[in-house]
Amino acid sequence: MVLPETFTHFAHTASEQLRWKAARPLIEDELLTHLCDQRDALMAGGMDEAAAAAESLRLTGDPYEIGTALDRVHRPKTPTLLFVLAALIALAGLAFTALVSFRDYELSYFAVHHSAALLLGTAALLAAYFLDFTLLGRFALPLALVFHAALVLLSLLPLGGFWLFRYTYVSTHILLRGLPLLFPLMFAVLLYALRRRRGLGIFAALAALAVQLLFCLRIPSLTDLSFLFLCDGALLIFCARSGWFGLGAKRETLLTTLPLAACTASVLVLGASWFARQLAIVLDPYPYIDGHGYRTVVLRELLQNAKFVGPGGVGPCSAQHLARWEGFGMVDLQEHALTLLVHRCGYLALIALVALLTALLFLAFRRCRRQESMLARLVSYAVLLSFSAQALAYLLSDLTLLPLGGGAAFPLFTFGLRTLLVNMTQLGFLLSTLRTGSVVRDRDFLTAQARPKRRLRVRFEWEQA
Amino acid sequence: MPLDKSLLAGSTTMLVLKLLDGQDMYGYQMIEELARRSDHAFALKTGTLYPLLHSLEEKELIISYEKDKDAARPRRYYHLARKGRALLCEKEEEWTEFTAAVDRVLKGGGCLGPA
Repeated sequence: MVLPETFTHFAHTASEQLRWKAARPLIEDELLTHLCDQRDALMAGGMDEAAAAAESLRLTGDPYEIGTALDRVHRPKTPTLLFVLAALIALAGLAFTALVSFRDYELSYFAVHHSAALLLGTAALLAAYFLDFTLLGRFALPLALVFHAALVLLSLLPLGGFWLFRYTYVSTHILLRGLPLLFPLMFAVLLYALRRRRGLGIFAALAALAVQLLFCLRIPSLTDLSFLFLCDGALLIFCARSGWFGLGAKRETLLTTLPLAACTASVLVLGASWFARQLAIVLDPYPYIDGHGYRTVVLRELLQNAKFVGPGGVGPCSAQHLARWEGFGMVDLQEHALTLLVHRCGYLALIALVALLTALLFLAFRRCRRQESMLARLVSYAVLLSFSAQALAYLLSDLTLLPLGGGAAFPLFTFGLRTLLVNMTQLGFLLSTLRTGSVVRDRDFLTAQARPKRRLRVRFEWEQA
Repeated sequence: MPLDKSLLAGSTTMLVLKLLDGQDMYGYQMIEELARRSDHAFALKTGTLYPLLHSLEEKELIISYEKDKDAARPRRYYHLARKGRALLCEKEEEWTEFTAAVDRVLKGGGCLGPA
């Protein structure tokens, strides 16, 4: 049945009373559906269409009154507590960097660098927060395609580095590191764009996963690979279980789980000897002290001599290491900040830090799982998974339970411009889902994507005089 | 005899929560159902219902979702959340106590019946 113009005008007028523009489409649609339902009921009672439409409008009331009442309810929700928790973790990171690097009453390079990174990160966080996660939905396919195409191109760069304009040496290692932190978010954006693409969608998702995997293999790191599989695999299975690709939940789960399981199994089989050696290092690192076990020995000594509160002692190897690096080193500050934290401040500081991040992730997850929009859920789950995997890998590595090194960061805490910038941008998108996610519907993007192209037709006709 | 609207005002939340107790409903269905159950004694207005529903959702007492998302005009259904169910129980108890107290006062008066 045709929608009367009076209905659209009524709903539009009511929704315009809302100062929060993002909530307007939701209200407009709900009121339109209400008016139609009411009209249909009246028509079923014997009224003709025009009279039923007029009566429906009369019964619904004053659009200004309804809109004003709804305006009082709808306001963007600022996740204040999550902002506070994130700020506490970030400031704790800055304070720790200053504490470790503070010497002779002078601000160290590390503290200045960390402050600058935090300022840039805060700007990126606020930009992502106010630009909103819906931006990712609007440009889902181009964004994901450009990102994965860039990964392919970056994978072709020579290992080690190359000279740019003869005088500038660009390190491939530095250029490529940190990018895997963005993989889950970009994979989530791609998955969102692949809705109802059926078999092609699943194939494209697995192809993107392969591109990410090949990129990680350029700089082999167990952290990146495990991080990638954990987060991307979970997102893919989540989509498949909800029948996102349009093939049915069971078939999709099977089609996605089998390749993931096969890939994991082949990695485990091919790397069996490597895994066995890493396990041996974790169990007893001393026989490997001149090689891969050195790092584990130093970290374990620092942990064994740490106190619950206050600075701890050192062992023979860790004393030598710290003396060589004048108390700390940039690699330690970036890659083993938590071991240094335990060594300098005690286990209580580590417990407090982990509790802060756990609270942030738990509260965010509790609110995210109530989101109605798949885009909001995918974006928030991607960021939450990314943060959880990073934190877990970093913590296990620093407690010498996993012999990992490099790549990961303890989100918002560890020193490093790249990781702070990437993680704070991701956090901005996560917080934006909590701000506007309640009024965002997938329909608004998906119908926009399917909008027919406008074509300009020009016709020339020859007119004879 | 038309009812005094102020009698309804204080209990609208309870009535809306009670409507959702048995099944999930959309806005217009709730208006119709309330009118049917109250034998047309209560007529909930659109301007009252939707702001109330949205504020209840804000307080996490109810959850809304769209059914038949692929339909041209999907309806937004409301579902009673666990927190809402607990509040409904409280409100029902409060209402029972309130009506019992009003009854006692009215029955004790001289105008309603034999003393």
